[in-house]
This record gives sequence, C-alpha cells and structure tokens, in this order.
Amino acid sequence: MRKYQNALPIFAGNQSPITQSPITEKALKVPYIAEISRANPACFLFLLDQSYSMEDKLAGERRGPSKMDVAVDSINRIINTLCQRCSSGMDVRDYFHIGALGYTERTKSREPGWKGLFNFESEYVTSLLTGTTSEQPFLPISRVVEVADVEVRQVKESDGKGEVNEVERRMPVWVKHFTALGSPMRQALRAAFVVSHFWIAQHPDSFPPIVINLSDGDASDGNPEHYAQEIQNLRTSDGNVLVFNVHLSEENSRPVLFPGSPAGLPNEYARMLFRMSSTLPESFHGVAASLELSVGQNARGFVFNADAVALAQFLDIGTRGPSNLH
Amino acid sequence: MPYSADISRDKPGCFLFLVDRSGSMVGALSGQPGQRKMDQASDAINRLLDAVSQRCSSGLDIRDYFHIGILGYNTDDRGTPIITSALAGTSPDQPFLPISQVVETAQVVERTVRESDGAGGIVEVPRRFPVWLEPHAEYGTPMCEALNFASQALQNWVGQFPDSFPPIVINVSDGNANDGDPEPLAHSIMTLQTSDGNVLVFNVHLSEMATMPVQFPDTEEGLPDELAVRLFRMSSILPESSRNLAASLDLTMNENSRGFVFNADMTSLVQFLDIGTRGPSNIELH
Repeated sequence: MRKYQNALPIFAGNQSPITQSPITEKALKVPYIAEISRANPACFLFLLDQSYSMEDKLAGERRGPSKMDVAVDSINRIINTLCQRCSSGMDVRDYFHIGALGYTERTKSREPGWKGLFNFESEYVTSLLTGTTSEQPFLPISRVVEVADVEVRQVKESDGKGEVNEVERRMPVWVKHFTALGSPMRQALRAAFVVSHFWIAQHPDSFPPIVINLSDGDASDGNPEHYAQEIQNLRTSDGNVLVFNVHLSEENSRPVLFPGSPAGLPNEYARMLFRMSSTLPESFHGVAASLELSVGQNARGFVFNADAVALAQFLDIGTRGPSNLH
Repeated sequence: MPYSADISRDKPGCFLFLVDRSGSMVGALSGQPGQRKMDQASDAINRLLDAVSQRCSSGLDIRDYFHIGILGYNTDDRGTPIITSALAGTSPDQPFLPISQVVETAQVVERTVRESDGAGGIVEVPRRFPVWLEPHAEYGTPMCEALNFASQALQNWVGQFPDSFPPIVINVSDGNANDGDPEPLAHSIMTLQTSDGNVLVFNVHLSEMATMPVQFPDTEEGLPDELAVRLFRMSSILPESSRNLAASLDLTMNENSRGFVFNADMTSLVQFLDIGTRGPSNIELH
C-alpha cells in the first residue's frame, strides 16, 4: 500500500491528482501508431459498473439478458478475441496486457472471495481477473489465457449460406456476473488513473493504454468527469491514454455510436459521458469503416443507449486501434 | 368518451399516410450520415404496416380491422403537383385498402441484419421484410395539394364508416410546403369526424439539423424554427388512449401533448407511429 503513497501525491477530496505525464518531453510524432511487441505491449483496462440496476433488462427487452449479462458476455468475448490475436500456433505472444476492475460498494462480508485493498476507499473497486489485485490488475495475455474458466453456452452461428443455428460452444470466461449497491465510478476512474500511471512508467513507448468504462447510470460518489480528464492527460511517447465510455440502457432507443457532437444527446448525463470520452484516433477509423459504420472526424469513443449489437461493435472497434503487431 | 370506439370488421380503423417525396428527402437524417430521409420514411412506414397487419392476424386469417392508404407527394420539373396513391392496388379514386389486401400486395425482400449471438458476439442473420413503399424523391413539396386530396378521401371514408374510430393521418415530411400555407388545410381535416371523435392529424418531421429531437411537445416554446411551430399547430392533441400507451413506453406527456415529432430519428418515428397505431386498441375479437 505504502509504495503508492510514496510514489504519487495522495488524492484528497476533490483535489487534482497529478496531471504531469511521466513522459514530459519527446519529439512529436503521429500518435497511436506504435508497433506492438512483447517489449512494447498494448494495454486494455475494462471498468465495469456493478451497481444493482445492471440487473435490469437491456434495451427495452422484457425477457432476455440483463445489462450485466450482456456486459459480462461482451467483455469475455472481446478478451477472447484479444487472446486469439496474440496466438500463433500453440504460442501466445504477450502483445497485450489486460485488466478488469469492477466497481460497486461491495464489502468483505458481502463476498468472501473479495480481494484487493487500496489505500484509498478501495472496497469500491475490485480486480476481476484471477490472480490480480486492484493495485496490479494487469496480466500479460499468456497469463490471461491460463486463468480463464470455461462455460458451455448456446451460441447462434451462421453457416455462411443464410442459415443460423444455435450450437453449444465452450466459451472462456474471465469476468462474472456480480452486482451490489452503488456505482462509485469516480473511485473506479481514480483507480484506473493510478494503475495506468504505473503501467506507463513501465512501458513508456507503448501504444497508450485504452480504458473502457461500461456503466448504466450516474456515478454514486460524485462527479467522475475530472478523473476521466486526468487519465487522458497521461501519455506514452505514442499518445495520450484513451478513455472510452459505454452506456447501457434499459430504454428501447436508438443507440448513438461514436457521436461527433453532444447536440442530439438527450440529457446532461449523456453529454457528460461524451465529454469524458477521448476522440477516436485516426487509426481506429478504418476498422469502423470495415464494419460499415460511418464515423466522423470528431467522433468520440462513446456509445449511448448501447444494445448488445452496438456494444459488441463498439468493443471490437475500440480494441482494434493497436493493430500493428510484430 | 371520444376515441374509444371498438374496432371491428364493420367499424374498422383507418390510417392515411402522407409521404413527402420531394427531392430533399435524398438528404441524410440528422446525426446519421449515409441514412437518407427517404429510406427512413419508407422503412418506418413499412415496419408499421407490418405491425398493423400482425395485429390483425389470427392464425392464417387476416381480419379487416384497418383500412390503409398511402399518398406520396412531389412535383414534376415544372412544379406541377403529383399526388401518388402509393399502395399497390389503390387508385386516386380508391385510395384505401382493407388490411387483408394490403398484406397480399407486399413485396418481400431479404436483408441481412446484425443480431446478438447470445454470448457477447454478433451474428449476421438474413431476415425477410415486407415492403409496400419504396423510397422516391424528386422536385417540390406540394403539401397543400396532398392535404386537399387527403381531405376529400377522408370525407368519403367517414361518410362510409360514420361510427368508426376516426381516421389517423400521419404526414411524414422534411420541410416546407411550397404551394401555400398547409395549416388551415390540416385544421379543416381535423374538423371531419365520426361519432367517435374528430380525425387526428399527426406530423413527423425528418430533419438534417443536429438539434435535440422533440417528441410530442405540449407547447410551441423551444421549437427551433417557424416551420416546426407550424407543423406543431398542424398536429392534433393526442387522445387519452395514446397518452396511456406512451406512458407504458416511458414517454412523458400530458393533456396538451401533440402528435408531433420534430427532428425525429428512426426510433422516435417508429415509437410515434406505433402509438398512433395502438391508439384504436379496443379490437373486438369475434
């Protein structure tokens, strides 16, 4: 615990955490094109709102999966995809580091397996990958592969000729369904700031970390906007840390994917998430286009009112920026 | 209480769609580059008709609880109004078809849609969609002419079905009428009535402006321009039955809310039309 206090100014109340990047002066180059290698891996950090409202059904469905079910499925699926991108034969190359932090007001008594202890209000934030702590949530992808559980699931698959069949598949599982009360997003972003900061210190020339926050409502512990900004101020020599936001809704409204402007967003909460989201770098645009999604120049890494399809598309695009694997 | 008539084969409900087919409908809908307004308009109407026909289905039987008409309006290159009875099997003299015949005239097209695979991924699924209205767009916007035509057709219809739930007119457009002031004409349509109430006129505005969508406003205040205010005034106050349905869809409205959507995106358009359809909800099944 102490080592973080020594290394960083302490966050107190609404005071600003450090804003200075560990990389202060580097020659400017085109950002977000760093070659990904075992020495310079990319990094994905998922933040998952585990508030009780995540038990509600997604996007106007009366039956079917809850927002938490869909969030968990989508995160597990994208982690699996990231593992596959690093696989070459039997070999898994550590191109990616992955972390996942859940946030809710869980307590030790509520869940015996609870792990991780921050020196600041850390009962709110839990590391979700087996063998990690909330101070050190990241695993290299070869370890990620090893800590997966396996579930048998019914999956709809297309045979490519217009037939869709439901088949049983063994699916790797890392993140599991869990909810409790409250969504302390501010604490979660604070924790994300700290762990990103340390990750960058170790990997100063990597593609910058991508933080993807999935939530369904307002933070229960104050305004999180400031911390999203502080995370985005961190950077490697390849660019600033990217913060992307997913908003899951129980309303049956059109998902707003990668909006370029806050006009047209329905409320102040949506506009705040828009402001908390990084502009999607150029290197992500080609991926979007290949999925027949038109993404404007100023598009933010933000989806509002996501349904299961929009969420899967969003995560696919949001994790494909670091594509230059060597 | 008005707008409570039971809907039966003897006393069917009636939907008349007016579709702006002027050249500007080629433009993209606000916030959705690549999504043309004319595609949005026809998609929404096709979907609604599908929903209406499903509500009238009982096994293989389609019961004629509704009569449907679609009038498209545009001009030719010299500005001469062209009012098209766009539903196959209808004509300017007979613009309405009972729903069982509407179902028969549908073209079925197959499109690939992306759906959840049930485990965090996406699967492309071929789906068959019934199509009645194809997108079309050229030249001017003779909205007044269209309303005149609608007025005549509705007068005939209410004469034939004097005790039905009153007809619902849904005007889907993106802009200004260029053949005069349509407001008095809309009001004159609203004076037509059955014993169950006055004809309802609803307006859907598809806009390229990137402003906040407005659904079922209860006041002109806050509407972005004169045209929106005019379309607001051209829209009926929603009957209580629609308001109740809207509440079940989590839409807030009050006793002054109008059947008007400004800057409607696809969803609010469909929601809106859905409410209109479900307004006459007292289907007698016998």
